Amino acid sequence: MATADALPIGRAAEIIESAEIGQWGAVWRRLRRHRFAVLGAVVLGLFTAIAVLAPVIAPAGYDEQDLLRRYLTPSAQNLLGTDDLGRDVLTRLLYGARISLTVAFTATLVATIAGAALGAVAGYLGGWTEVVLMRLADIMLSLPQLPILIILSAALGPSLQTIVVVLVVFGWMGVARLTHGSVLALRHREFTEAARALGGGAVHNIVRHMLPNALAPIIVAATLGLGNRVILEATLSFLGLGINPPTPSWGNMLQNAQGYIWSEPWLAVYPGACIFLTVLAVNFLGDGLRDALDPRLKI
Amino acid sequence: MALLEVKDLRTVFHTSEGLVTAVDGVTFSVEAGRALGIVGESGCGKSVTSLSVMRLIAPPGRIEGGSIAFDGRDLLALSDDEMRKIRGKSIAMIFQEPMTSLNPVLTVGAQIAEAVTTHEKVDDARAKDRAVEMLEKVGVSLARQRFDAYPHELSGGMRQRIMIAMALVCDPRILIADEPTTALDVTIQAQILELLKALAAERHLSLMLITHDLGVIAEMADDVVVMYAGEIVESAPVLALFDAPAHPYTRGLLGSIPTLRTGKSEKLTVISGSVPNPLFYPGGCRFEPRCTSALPLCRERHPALARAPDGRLVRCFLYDETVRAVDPALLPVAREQRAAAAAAATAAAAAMAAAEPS
Repeated sequence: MATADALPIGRAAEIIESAEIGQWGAVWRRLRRHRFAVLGAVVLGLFTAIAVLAPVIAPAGYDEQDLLRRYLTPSAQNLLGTDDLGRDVLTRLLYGARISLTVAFTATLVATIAGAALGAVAGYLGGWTEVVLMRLADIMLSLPQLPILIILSAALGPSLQTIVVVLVVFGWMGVARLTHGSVLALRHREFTEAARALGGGAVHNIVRHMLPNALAPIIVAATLGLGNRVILEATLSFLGLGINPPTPSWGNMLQNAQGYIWSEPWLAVYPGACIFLTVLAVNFLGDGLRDALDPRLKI
Repeated sequence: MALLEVKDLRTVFHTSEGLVTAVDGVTFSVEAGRALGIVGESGCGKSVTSLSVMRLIAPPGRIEGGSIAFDGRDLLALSDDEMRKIRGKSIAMIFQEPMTSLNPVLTVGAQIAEAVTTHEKVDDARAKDRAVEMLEKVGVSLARQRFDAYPHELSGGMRQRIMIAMALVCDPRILIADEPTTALDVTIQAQILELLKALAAERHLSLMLITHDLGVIAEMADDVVVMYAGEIVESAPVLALFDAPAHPYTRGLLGSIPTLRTGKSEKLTVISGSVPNPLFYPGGCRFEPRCTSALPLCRERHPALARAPDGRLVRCFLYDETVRAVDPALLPVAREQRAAAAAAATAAAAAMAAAEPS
């Protein structure tokens, strides 16, 4: 095929090679060079592994009390000491990771999917759909979040499901606005017109053409949102509206520790440090992803 | 009957400044296997015409009148679902910018295969085979490997070939090409036009070619429609049009292109002025303010598209038998002559004013 824009063999081979790596390969390569992001991913991975493996690696049961062994300092038997009911703190931290991360991951996943779907539909269809959905998002964003979260949790009764539902209901707007903005810009690009000229329907075009192009900022927002939800879960649990004892979460461990903050401060330090590390790791990863997903930044 | 018949098409845009009639009573037809060229300056309504045929006019735009019959079915009467089945299947379209008309995050192969799976019940493997086959047909070498390339890895010419492959993979009856080569290098332009021509001949495909480039029209079209300010001003077979352009606007367009016969010292004609604001079209002939052969009548009355003796359609009083018959004084008067007469009259008036005692 002797066409003038046929490429010399070397260049063609290069193209084929880069096609094999693809967009996501390039993203992965850029992410790997971002040291803090790698660190964040490792820490997050570690916490996730801990959460999954908690029943296997925990030295005791999370609600095993021993009232004769209260407020112990770290020792070989209790690596991080014991709390006010003589429960092993390390065990409770491991199980706490389970609850805290499950809540944060689930709520983030559902809120991101819902937000992206609503935002994309609003941006693509326009008209009344857009007005209704985006004004709803604006209204939700202008409500004072914490008091309403408190009322909702109180009304629904504190439980794992409640807290996830509450975090989703108040967590979709950011991603929705972001996706809406991206899709508004994408809707006027020529390839959207070309997709419509090929006969694709609205749902097809949104799923296949709009969302993949808007994915990078959505992923970044979801990552940063994950950190936020770890804190929100801790806040609600701290206020007694999240996960109820004896089931441990980092938030209710903090709450439990506040009674002994002057005598036994490490009881607060451990869950506090876990929350801090997780959120920091998530933010590092989010930063790294933002850079890696932006093809204009050549790292 | 023609494959595509557009009658009195009227597409308007309700803008905040007022009503813009982008396409105003446009009538043309495309015969099976033939190529129609639509030519005109930017903003004359040629792209809106093509988007109207696809029914891809988005608000605030609206098709307000006329009919578009494809293969005997009125496209304007179809439901959205029925129209979607025609788009990309029976009527396909390629766009001006091959750089931006492809989705940047999908491989080109996936985009071609998608055109197949949108309209036909085939599995992914079969769709891929069809896409690769089509890539070979449009002259993409290493088709199986290029299937997995992303748009940004390909050159402009290559991308336009991909667009053509996407458009033709479902074997449409008619292809609308909106400025298909404007964004390409001249050498690549020629290749793409050759390719379109060859594919059209091979598949008995009708072409509707939108362009401002008379060279492309001469190369590709069988029939030509010249548009100005939302209207057709002349419609003729391509040879007749280039041999003897009738409408003053067409004459101006052709005169503005250098040819091999243009002498060194000869100047190209320039159509002075610019396209009228679509919010405020002149009341008479829309070309009158820029026309060098305008009659007094042209300012008052809007000429109809009338059949000239040789069968072509022209929207100009100069070719209107009735106008000529009624008043011989309406015969062409060159603008310069009129200007000279006016200047003489002013001079005379001035002289009289000077002679008069104050």
